Amino acid sequence: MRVGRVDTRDEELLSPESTAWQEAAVNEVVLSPTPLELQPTDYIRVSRNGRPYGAVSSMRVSALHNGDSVFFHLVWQDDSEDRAIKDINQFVDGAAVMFPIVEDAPLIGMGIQGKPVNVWMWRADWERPKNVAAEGMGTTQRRDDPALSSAVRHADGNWDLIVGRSLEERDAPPGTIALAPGAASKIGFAVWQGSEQERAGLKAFSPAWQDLELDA
Amino acid sequence: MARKKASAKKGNRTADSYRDRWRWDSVTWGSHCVDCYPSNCPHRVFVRDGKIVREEQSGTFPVIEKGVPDMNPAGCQKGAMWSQMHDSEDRIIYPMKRVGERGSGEWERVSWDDALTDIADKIIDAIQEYGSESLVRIGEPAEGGTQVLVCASMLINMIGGITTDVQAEINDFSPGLYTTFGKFDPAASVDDWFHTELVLIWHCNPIYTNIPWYHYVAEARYNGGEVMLFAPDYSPSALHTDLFASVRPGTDAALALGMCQVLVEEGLYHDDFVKDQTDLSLLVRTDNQHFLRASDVDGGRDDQFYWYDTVTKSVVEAPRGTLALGDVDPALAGEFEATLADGSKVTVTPVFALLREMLNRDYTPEKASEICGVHPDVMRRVARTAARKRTRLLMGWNSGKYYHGDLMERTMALFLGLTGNWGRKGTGARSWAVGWYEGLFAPLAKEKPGRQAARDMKNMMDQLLAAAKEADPTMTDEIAVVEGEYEAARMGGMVPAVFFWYYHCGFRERWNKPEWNDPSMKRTFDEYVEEGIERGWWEGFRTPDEKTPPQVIFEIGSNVLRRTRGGQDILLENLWPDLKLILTIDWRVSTTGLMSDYILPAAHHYEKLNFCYQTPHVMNLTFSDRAVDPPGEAKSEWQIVLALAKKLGERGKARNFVEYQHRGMPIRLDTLYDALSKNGAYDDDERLVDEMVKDSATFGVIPKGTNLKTMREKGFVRFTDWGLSSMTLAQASDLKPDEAHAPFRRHTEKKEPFPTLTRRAQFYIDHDWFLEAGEELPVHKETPKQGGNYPLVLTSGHPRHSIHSMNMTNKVILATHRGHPSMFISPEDAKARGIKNNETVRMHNDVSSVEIDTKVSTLVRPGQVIVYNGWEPYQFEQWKGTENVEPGMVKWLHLAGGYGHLQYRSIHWQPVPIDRAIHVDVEKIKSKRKAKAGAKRVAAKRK
Amino acid sequence: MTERQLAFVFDLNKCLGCQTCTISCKTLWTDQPGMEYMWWNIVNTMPGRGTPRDRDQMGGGFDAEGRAQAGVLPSAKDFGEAWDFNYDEVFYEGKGQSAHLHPRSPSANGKDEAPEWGPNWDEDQGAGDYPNSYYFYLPTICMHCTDPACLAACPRQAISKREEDGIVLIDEDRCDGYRFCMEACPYKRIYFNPDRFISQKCVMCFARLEQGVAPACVRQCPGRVRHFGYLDDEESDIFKLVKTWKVAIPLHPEFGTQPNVYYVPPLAPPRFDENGEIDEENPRIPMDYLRSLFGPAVDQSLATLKLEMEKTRQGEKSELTDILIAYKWQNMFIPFVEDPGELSRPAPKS
Repeated sequence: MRVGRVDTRDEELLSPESTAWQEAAVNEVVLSPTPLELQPTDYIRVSRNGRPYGAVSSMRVSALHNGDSVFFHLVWQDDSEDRAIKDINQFVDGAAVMFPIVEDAPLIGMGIQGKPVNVWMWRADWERPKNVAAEGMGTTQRRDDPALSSAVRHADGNWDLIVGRSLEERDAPPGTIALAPGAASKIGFAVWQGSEQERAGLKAFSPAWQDLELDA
Repeated sequence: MARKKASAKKGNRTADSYRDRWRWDSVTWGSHCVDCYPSNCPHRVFVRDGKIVREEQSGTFPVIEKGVPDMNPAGCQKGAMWSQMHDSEDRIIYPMKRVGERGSGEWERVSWDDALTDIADKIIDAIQEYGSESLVRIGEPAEGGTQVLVCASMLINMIGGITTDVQAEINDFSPGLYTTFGKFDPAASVDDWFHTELVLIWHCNPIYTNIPWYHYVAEARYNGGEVMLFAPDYSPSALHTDLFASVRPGTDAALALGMCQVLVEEGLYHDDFVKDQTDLSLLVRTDNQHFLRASDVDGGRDDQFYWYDTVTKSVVEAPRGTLALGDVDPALAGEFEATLADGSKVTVTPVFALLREMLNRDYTPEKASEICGVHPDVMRRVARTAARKRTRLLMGWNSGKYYHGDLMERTMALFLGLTGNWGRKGTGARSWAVGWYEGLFAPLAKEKPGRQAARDMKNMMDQLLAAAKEADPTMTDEIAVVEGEYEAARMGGMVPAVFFWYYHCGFRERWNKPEWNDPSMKRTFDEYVEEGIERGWWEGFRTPDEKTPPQVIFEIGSNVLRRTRGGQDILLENLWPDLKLILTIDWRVSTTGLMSDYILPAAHHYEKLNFCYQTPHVMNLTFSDRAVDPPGEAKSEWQIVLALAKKLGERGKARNFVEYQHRGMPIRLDTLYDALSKNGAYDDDERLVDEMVKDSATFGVIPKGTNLKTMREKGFVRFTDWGLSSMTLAQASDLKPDEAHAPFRRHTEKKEPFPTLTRRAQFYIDHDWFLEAGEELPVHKETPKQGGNYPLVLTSGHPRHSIHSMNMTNKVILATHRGHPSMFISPEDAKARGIKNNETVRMHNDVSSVEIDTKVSTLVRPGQVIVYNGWEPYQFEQWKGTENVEPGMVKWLHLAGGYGHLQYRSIHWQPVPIDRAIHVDVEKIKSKRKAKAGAKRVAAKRK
Repeated sequence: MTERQLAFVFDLNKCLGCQTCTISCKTLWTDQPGMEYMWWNIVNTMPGRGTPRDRDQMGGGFDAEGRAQAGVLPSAKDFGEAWDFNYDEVFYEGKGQSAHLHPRSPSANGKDEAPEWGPNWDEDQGAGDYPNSYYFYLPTICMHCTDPACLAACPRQAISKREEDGIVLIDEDRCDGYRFCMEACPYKRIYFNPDRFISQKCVMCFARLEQGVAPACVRQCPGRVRHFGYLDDEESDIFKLVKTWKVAIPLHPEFGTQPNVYYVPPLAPPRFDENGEIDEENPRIPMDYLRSLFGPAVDQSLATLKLEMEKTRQGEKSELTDILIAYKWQNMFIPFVEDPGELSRPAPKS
């Protein structure tokens, strides 16, 4: 996945309508349910056995940077817009972008001990996405920095999410992904459908890392 | 399976946050100074950042009697959430003046000074126009604690107003126990329940109403006792019993008499006990059904009675000064001849013979069973058990709320008498008693502050008592004090409520309806009233009379529109329109408050110094401290009363009206404040309460040297002496520091007489009205169809969730039940009417109708519906609470007087209102009415 | 098994259903935002639907082979919502008697919708046909199970069981609000705090225990229903009632989590036959119903209890009934006998 370089201000890149996004290349990312047998607890495996999840099968992703910040624009279909829970047995929609911190950090299982990943996690009821470090399932730790920016709308049965971050070196403390113009990394995606009680490992995801290159 | 074990180590943020929640700055003693029996549950109140965060039972009761469980941790869910009411949405913290119609919900916040000026002027207007007895304080169950009781009654007495008798207002009277014993209030300490071998729960639901003390019932059972329950419904208190017997509502007298027949016929009755404790051994003339009296025999006393001595085979005087038989062995059977003063002969027979004849004729278990529905074998089983076991009737105040509750209680007392079950540990009936008041009233009643004045007052009271006993050596302390109370009652102050209701509240018409009364009421109610007045029985008590329209109503620590049998409507229609002032002093919004002209904000229980009602149930003086200051402009009742007294003086002077007459005594308004505060000596609550405690010690009812500081250290102190209150002396047992209290032991062990006409437990009442009614002996009578000819009977009881209505509108407690009024109905009756669970229905009869939601429950006896009380009318559609379908009848016979103990004294013998077994029907509502929005107007808000 | 285990015995033959335990917990722990509807401790009338409603049919726990069982995630309405009340409308808005105070469902978006359920909605409704009606009170809290299904279900290891006393705690920092624990708990004693997006439950008042004070629900129970202590302390009421006398038995042992709340099952007065005579043969509460709650051990438990009670009626002593009487209240929760009012506490954090 190429991250094109544009000469557009951050504010504009945080608008799905901006011409920069209209002109950006679209990558079709195939998603599939996370494997049941890899769910972290017996309870989850038993309770979701025969109760499908992860039905969102694809996502359209564009990526741009302007030298200062990088943005990913994710669009996926979800007819039910679950922005907030109205009851305690409800869940909200969410999406995540994940990067390996070390090269061979596994995507499945969200890293492993000693091989962390960095996740930009968005949830429909949060004000802004959260930066999360993980070294395997159930180990996610939210971090306060660096701040992520985002814009989101739900229209015509689709979620339309832009999530981005500064490219400054000081904004990539240890444990988070360091991205810079001309750099390369890998990327993965996940989507949670609140209406299907998806949370934690119950989600649709891109099963393999995709290469990520930022234009110089 | 994989599982991780971990430890919540210190430093863990979650753990620390919970640790931090359980912290406080200060701890004080607190209790809930309300008329809940027996109450007196000491709590710790925890304050943090100037706010009360929580309370918890102290659990600091010592073991009193070896081998008897301690009383800890006395409390209940209401007590455990009391502080939640301090800043809840029904709290009042500013003086409020009505600006719309009464009850419109339109209020204006006013200053204390403006409010008190207007109030004082209206009080003076009333005194000038109709005299001070047009000022009516509604008798109250001291919902604000004894501080309220003392200061409210003191002010109203000092300005010559009257207080309607609280016993009539709340009807926790036990008229049948009173008729029998001359006192209604045998009250064992709760730990004595443990001694009981047969706990007979009857007219009581302790699982709802005795939460702090119920454990003694369960523990008595584990200790080898049996627990049985008689009730119409499979009441919650039936759950932990060994026998539940279902009684048709209102037929308990038949059940008791059926069991008495077993005792008599099978010879199981306790012969000695019957002979010395009761009047069953006294002789009755067969020609006129009256007791044989000295006035018949030798022109002597009208209250000297006789035995037939089987040893000397002669008619002998039964001594008035003792229950001891001496050398006499009184006959319980047979007919004998007595010679009268004029030389004529009459046949006499012991009451026991009359009783036996009646029991065998009308109340064999089989016959009784037909009436009450309890199987004859069950009656035999219970009777035989009671005859050999220490038996206690765990009664509440349910029976006295039946039309013929007096008869029920007389038969229940008879059951105890025949089985020898009073005056021993673990036995007796149960009622309530309060007392030990001398120390609390003394600071205001004595000449001036200080120890010497208290000692002088005590000496004077002791001398009066000694003089009375010298004049009549047959008197015990108890009897002497009771006789003094009969005298004192005629001086005014507290008066029976019956005439207030009769003349001013619209009850006269209802009480005269023959179909809502017993058929043996042979004349109209009016005629009985007239005769009672003519014969002087109610002289001095008939106030405000028909010529004195009430002008001012004081509501302090009460809620008359919630509580009055007959409902709020009868008061709103008949009493309310002509009132010039309705004043409510309260800490929460009551229905009465909403219908008042002013609501003045009182301090809540943890915001002032206070005491719980003092009662033998717990035997302690229990203190409640000021944990925080009252919020907003709320004040303690004492401060409110002082401010009003001051204002009355000020307005009196301004209006040139400083002195008036009341019952021949001058009353001065300009010195009212000085008189009340003892020239300012008690201007502060602390000083008043310290004096109360010290005076109590001076009177010897608590340990010498006890003062406010002691109370602050210990929270409660155990009483050391009964003092001179009639209701404590009525316990008639010695008070011991290391023994549970069982009443009436002085009657059984020391053979001290009872304060009745015959000086014995009296089952035979030869008052001419009782003879006219056929109630000289306790009999069963059907409950009249009060309310009309409808198929269901409505019963009630105290709720689990609230003390009166105090906790009924609090969100926390509301969440622990359905949060709205409910009517229990059997599945059978619901189905027959097409009614579902939690459906709004209309309950109606000839009196009125109310809307209420159903609770379809298997515990209900078919034919019965139950609405537990305490709901505020404003929790019902159109504010029509269930009291509105109760006609509020009183039993005519209770107007009888002039007969030994059948005469009025405060909170004793008098007509009391009835609310059990009201006839109603229930029907579906086609479409639920939508609440209409009333007139909009800007209203003063609480905050 | 943890090194030690604290456990409770609730004597149902003393329970009044008064909810003092419920309130004592509410005022201490669950009076915070997002917790309004929580009742970590609740007492239900049984037979009844329980809290949350129909909780016994909601799954969770483990099967006989120790395999996790799927469970249902209850709604707030199942637990019973925290109702709103229209105080101001009734008191101050000039509507007179046309407005009356009543509960409103908070989820009805401002509409005046009457609630249809609450945490204690079916109180005192019971079962059976009068006069042979039957019901009793059943208090429940987190069972602090030896094999907690909640702990096993959590993908974030946010739930721990303390070695030193077996208390099961949720780490609120680790909790991500996934609520698998709520599904997996067969007793349905975990709530969700929507304001903080975390699950919360009974903490066994560990902060009190650390000061030597018994849990609020234990210490404040006026019915003296609750015995508390270490399961391995042979001198404790708990050991004697559970291990020696075997009268205290777990609720739903088939749920497979080895709960650490034990119950003395309920007796009831005899029923009546069709002639109104006492029927000593058939118990008022059907044994099948009790077995469905307490498993087969309930038969022996009740038999022992009745035998010992009969002994006391004959004037003999019984160690069992002496324990249940609890002559000295504090002995019910040794060694946690400190009086909170006498503790010298550090001043609260600002």
